[in-house]
Amino acid sequence: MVTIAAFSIFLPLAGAFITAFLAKAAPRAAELLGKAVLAAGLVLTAKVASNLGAWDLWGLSQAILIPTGVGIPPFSIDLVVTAGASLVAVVIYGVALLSLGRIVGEGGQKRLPLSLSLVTASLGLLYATDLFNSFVFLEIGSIVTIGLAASRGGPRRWEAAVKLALISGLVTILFLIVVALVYRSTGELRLVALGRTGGLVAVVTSVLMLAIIMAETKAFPLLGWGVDYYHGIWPPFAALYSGTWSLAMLLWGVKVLPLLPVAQDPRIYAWLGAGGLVASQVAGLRQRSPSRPLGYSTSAFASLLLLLVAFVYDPDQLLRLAVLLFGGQALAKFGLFMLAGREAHGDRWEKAGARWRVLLVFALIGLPPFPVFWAKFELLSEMARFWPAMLGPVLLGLFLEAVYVLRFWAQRSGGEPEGDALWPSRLGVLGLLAGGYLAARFMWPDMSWSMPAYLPPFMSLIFGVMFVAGAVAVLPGALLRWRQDAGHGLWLGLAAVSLLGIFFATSGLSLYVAWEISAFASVMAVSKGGFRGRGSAFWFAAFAAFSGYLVLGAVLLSGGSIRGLGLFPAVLLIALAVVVKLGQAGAHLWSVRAYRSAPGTVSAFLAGVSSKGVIYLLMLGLVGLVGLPGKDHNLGLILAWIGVFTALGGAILASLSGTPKKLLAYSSVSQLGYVLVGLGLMTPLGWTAAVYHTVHHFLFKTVLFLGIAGVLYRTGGRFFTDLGGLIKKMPFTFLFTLIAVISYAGVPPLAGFGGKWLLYQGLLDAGRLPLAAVAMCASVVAFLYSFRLLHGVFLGQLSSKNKSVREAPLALILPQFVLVCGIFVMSFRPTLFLERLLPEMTQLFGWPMSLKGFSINGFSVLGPFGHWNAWAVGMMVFLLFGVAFVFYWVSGPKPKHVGQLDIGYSGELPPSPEEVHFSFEFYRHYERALVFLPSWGAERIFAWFVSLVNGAGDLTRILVSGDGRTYLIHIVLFVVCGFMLLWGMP
Amino acid sequence: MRTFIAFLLALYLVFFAAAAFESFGEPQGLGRIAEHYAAEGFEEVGAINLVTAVVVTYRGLDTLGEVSVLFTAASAVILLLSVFPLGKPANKPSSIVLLTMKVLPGPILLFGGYIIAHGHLTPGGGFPGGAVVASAALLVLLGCTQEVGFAKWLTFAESMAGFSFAMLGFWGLLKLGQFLNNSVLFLGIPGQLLSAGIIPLISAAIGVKVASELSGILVAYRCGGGKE
Amino acid sequence: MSLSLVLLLSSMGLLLTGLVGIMAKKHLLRIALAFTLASTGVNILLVWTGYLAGRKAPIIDASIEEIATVAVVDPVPQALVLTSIVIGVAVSALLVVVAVLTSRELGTADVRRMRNLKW
Repeated sequence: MVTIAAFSIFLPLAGAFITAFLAKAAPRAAELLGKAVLAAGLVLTAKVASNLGAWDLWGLSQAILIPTGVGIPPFSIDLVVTAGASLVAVVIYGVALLSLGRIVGEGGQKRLPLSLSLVTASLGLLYATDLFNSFVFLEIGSIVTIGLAASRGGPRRWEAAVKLALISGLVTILFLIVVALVYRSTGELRLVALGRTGGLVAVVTSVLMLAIIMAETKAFPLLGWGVDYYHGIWPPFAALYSGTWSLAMLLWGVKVLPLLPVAQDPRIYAWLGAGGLVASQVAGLRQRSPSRPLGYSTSAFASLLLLLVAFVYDPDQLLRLAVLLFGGQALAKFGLFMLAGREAHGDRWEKAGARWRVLLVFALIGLPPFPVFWAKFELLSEMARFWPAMLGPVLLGLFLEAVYVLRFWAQRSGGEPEGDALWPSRLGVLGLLAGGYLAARFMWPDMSWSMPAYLPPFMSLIFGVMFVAGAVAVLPGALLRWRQDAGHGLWLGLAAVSLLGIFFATSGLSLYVAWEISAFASVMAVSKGGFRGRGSAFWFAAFAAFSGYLVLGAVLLSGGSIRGLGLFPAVLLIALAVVVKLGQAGAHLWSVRAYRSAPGTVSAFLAGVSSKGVIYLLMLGLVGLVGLPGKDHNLGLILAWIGVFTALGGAILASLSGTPKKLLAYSSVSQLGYVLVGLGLMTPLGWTAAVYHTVHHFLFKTVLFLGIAGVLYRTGGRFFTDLGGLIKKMPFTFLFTLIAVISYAGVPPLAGFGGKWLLYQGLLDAGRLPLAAVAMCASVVAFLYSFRLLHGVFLGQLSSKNKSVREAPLALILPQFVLVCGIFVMSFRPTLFLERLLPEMTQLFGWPMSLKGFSINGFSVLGPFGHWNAWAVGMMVFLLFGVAFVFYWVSGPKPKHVGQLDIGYSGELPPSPEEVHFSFEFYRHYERALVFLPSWGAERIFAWFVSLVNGAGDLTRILVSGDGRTYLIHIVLFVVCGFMLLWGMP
Repeated sequence: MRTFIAFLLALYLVFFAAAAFESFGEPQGLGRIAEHYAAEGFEEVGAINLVTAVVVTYRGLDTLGEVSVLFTAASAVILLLSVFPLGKPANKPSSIVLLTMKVLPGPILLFGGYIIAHGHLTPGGGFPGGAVVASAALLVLLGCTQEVGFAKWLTFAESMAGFSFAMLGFWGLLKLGQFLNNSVLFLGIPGQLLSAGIIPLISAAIGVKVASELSGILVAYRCGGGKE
Repeated sequence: MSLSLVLLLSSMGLLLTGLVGIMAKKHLLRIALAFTLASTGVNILLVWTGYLAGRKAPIIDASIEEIATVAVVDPVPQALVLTSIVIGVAVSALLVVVAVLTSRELGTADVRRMRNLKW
């Protein structure tokens, strides 16, 4: 096995020697030899890894020793092939093999010796145990990367090569000083000798070595050259570089950093890592060109290296996390760079494979099931154990990285790349999935799914049924678009299934995994939308990442169990995440864009079903608060006020919308506000009202979105001014929409009335009169947009272009019908539902069984402030309606049909055809009255906030000044500061 | 301004480094591993030149790496200069150069060969010897105005030499379980030319490699890197 | 002035000059030259670490065969310097080529003009 391991390291070098000569004599043979050598090396390394038992990720520090020279260390040098390092070596070989074809290309066989030597140099760094030995391998890599960078690419590559050369030169000098120091003070040169120095020597060695590692891995503040380098070189070189050399460098850092004397105080690494992460990522947000964001992402991982070494001490765990984290990001970057197309002209990427790109982006920012996700979770768990306060900046930094990497995807994708560039990326994704599988298998014991037991059983049952029913309801609609775009249905299906994952999760990790999958599957489904699909998906993704990191924080602080979610500050983070995810309090910026751009069925799913998952999470958190006086009141009260003002604001904005989808989006946000009010009351009545309203929202919102989806599917229009008068053409849609509208407006006899009744009972019972007042305002405003929706789409005059519109397809009508039946059941027999819910709620809150004069008696509900018999109310309404209908029919005025163009315009010419439409600026007078709208407020506040962040980014990126010598000065300055901080003056 | 700041920073760094070095005081004796080499090197390796023993055997992996450094640098230089040739030199060689070119290369080669061959016995070894041989090549290059004949053999020699170095290392691994262990060949009597196991062979390989690489770089500087 | 002190001071001086050069000079070839100076300085430093006053070169001939451990200077730094010099040469050769080609392709050897990639 030792022989095999040695061959696996030196085979590429031997191959390099041969191909140097062969490249001129027989180029084809040389290229073939190169590939054969790499393939053989890959197989050998995999064999070594298997032999060490590396594939199940246990015991990664077990090793094979390759002795060299004569005698034993420290008198000779040996190479230590740890299991973890061998896994990384597999990745390195894979990347080299996959990129070789591209790099050599036509007539570039002279690059073969360089590329092959780079592989051996990377492996040497991985396995080295000697300081000077590491130095030699480092130099090989530096020379190769300089040479390759200069040999091909656009005109920017010279600058990149020069900067790399300058940095390599300084690193060489500093490294040799360290070698001299270590040898002089300890008399030997093994890496472990670094830790045997003391006093001033220890300080000088540590600081110099730290500077070298940070400069080579591009950690903030020594990252300028690296970003410029990635920006300037030919993308296939960047792919090779990040997948081999950069990866080896990071692993070498994992080996060396714990050995330095300065590691004894881990706070140094922790501060450097966390601070560097945030500083570099704000700068990353400002990047617009194609390759620079990936450079900043590398810097993020370099800062994570410092954090990893600061918080993880068990060698097996350290190696495992390093392999998953850095190997994962290396593969992702490799794939992304390979997809850059033949030549990156200027600042635009040429064609790219969208599907693979998005998977690679998800792998890079650390979403399940990819390896970076699992490593990130474990690393952050360790951080939460020892120094929870550090979670704040680190999660912030990771969130910022997610934002600009997602933006990078949102703005650049589209089209397919050249054939030979696609396969490496596909295999890269495959490798990532394999790595994710291995990691998930390792983490399996921490995840568990089973019947939930945290909420009362009937309540849980309700949610479970809703999730399943919701998925079933939208799926037929998704099938409609199958022929055009299968992906959207698949993503929708994944989002639906993962909701069930949230439901059945019984550990923090399971919950978080399901949450992230659900969020980002929804993002992908939204991105398929026609109108600005990708831009809206980016807003969605950014906010989803934000709330995702908040949920992660909550899960980490709760100690991994769901019950722990109810403790402060976890529940606070959950509340904030939910507020954002439901689009409350100004966070509607994303949801409105997402709903209006997504395909109809996706909007239906998002608004109707997905939001229920969010509410479920909030309940899990709030349940833990039950019974804690003081705290629960404050948080609940805040939530209630947020909810009620969102209800009001959303209703106003809905009234002023110009398209039905936007109206429904604001309406959704508004209605969910009521749920927050109910939950925030923290009383049995309040929660009953909230659950009731949740179910009701699920029913009517899905019907509304499906209805509008049908209308837009048939007419192809977007604005209210394109629609109108469709009542005769789409009678069923109109009927169902009408029922849904009546229901949510709260008009008896339908279900909304009952919900509002319960809510007001609860509000009054708890004594929250101001809240009740604002809620009533919001309910009134809801009438405005209800009418607009109905009138704008179905009433009024039929436009000539919609003359041939038919009823919506059955796939959309049938689910609506079923849901409407549900509304009816809920309207007339709410007691079926309440008689089990109410007692459960009182039990949950620990109140005495008899709820202060609240009882259910057959069909009627008797509350503290009134009495509601749904059946009787229904009968009464129908009776009155019947009377009025007959009266109107017999003796009311006869309507006269008016054509669309029969409209008076005072002799002037209408400026545009839309202005003739009745729905145009329907509520103009209200708009004028309410100049200070919350939307403008929210947009402006958000813009101000973004400009703040941008300002911070501009501040930190001043460091990346572009002048290579300045980068050198930074390094020396860093070293000098390190000396002074740790030692003072000698 | 920049110079001033750079000077201050560099001064600080150097100052600290010097202080760190001074903090030991005078060394009393050989360091830990040096003592072992001085005491055992003679028997273990069979070479009387301890430096060569360290370079080629004890720290042979470093040397393999160093050879690779030179190799990759030469490859990179040749690669770059073949894409962007520097063009023909402007001056004609002087008469001194033309005269010595006919006479000196022989003795220089001999001297270089001697250094290489006696690496394990006297100061020197593959690297200095190879450099000396390359200087002979430089002399010839300075004197010629057209492409030189030996250029095309350089890559072949370089590749073969490097490859043999690696193979010698593997021989040690296969036979004795230790990469680059020099005892695979008889150790002989220290002080004789044929002794110290494979050290002379490795020295020769290194010498050939260094000579051909440095010459290759010089040829590339002078005449471009050949066709792409 | 012992030899030891001379070695240390000269290496530090060269190192200082080289470092200032690479951080402050604007012409690419001057930067490459400064790197060579610094490299030489560090090599002298390495040699210095092995110096022991009054001892001979580490070649074991008959006269010192028995007392090698107290009669020779440290062979390890000399080995390290051998490697380091070669590496320095290799890097310098590459630096010079990159400098010349860059100045040709970009039309200038002034590092201050190479600031298109930034921020």
